[in-house]
Amino acid sequence: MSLPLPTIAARMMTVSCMSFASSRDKIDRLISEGSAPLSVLVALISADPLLSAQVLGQANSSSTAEFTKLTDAMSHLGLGSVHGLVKASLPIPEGLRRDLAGCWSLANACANMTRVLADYCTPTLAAKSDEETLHVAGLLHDLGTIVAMTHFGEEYTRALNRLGENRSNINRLVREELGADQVALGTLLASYWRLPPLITACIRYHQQPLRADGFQETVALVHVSRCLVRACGFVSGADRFLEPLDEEAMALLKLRLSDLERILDRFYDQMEELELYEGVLARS
Amino acid sequence: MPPTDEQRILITQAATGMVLARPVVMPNKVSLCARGTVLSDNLITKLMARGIKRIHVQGHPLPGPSQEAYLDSIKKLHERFSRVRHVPLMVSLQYIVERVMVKRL
Repeated sequence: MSLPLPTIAARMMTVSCMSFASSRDKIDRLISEGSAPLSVLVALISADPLLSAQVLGQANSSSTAEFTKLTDAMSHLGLGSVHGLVKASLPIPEGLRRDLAGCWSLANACANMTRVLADYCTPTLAAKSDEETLHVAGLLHDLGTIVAMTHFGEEYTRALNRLGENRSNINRLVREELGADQVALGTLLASYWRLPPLITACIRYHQQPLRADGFQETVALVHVSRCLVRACGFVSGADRFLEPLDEEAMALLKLRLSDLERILDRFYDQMEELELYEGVLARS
Repeated sequence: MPPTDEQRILITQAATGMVLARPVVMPNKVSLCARGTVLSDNLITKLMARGIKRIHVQGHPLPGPSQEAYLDSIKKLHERFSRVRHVPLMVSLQYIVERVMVKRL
């Protein structure tokens, strides 16, 4: 039986930041020591979708400016505030580590692919976004699934259990079990945490990019990136079945099928380096 | 799995004694090392300094995925695409992803 919307909304207000102990401790130590340059801290935080969302949200809450880059957000907040957010983040419970590792992996893969794709499409893009903004757009697009796993675990598990025997898609099953799907949860969190409009659009419309008025190109990049990385095996938990790629999004980006092999090669090159140096990404 | 007598590795995984299976070429087509060159620590450092990230070496000095792992990844790939087989674009995408996976083994 699904939950009433006010219950979902109330529970969403208590969503707290969770983070993997290894990366949280590393960031904590580096800020405490005071020797790491901002770029290193940004690189570490930008591998963690919840922490990145919270830092961006805090910066946007305390300013009239719209922060879409972690560097700007962290400079605005100051390292003391960022340190406070890092220390306040909760360790991911043991039972969720495996599934959330899949979410982190998908988020990072999508962030990288969004940058690779934007770089490939640069000559045809009307609006040019900077690399950091594109990274964040890809990283945060699926916050809703993370929230579904961490705060609505029972309902989300029921939906996943039905996924194998049912040809319905995961969003519909989560909506039936919970009363709201991952897109709605993500959009609500983006509103509560005051994420900027571009990032909120990526969360809300990444499955229907042409509906993202004003942000169609960036959302289309995220949509295509998500589809490609999931095709390559970066999936979150048991939600492993692909949804069709939106052909209109491909057309908007002037992408052809014949471009995809080169794009996948570039993506894998980048991921190999990340895996080698960070050792945090595990493909399912 | 296609048989190959060379392995593509990151320069950071290279070790003294490995033998280049292909020449190392800069993006501007300038050749830095010939095929058959035996790597040394000094040469590896120089290549890294020139921004080289990957090289092809003879044989398979680093453990690659086993036949079972390869077959498992192909099986998972087919499962991921199992619900979009009616979409021609996705059928083509599956073929492309599989080709890239095989190429990068």
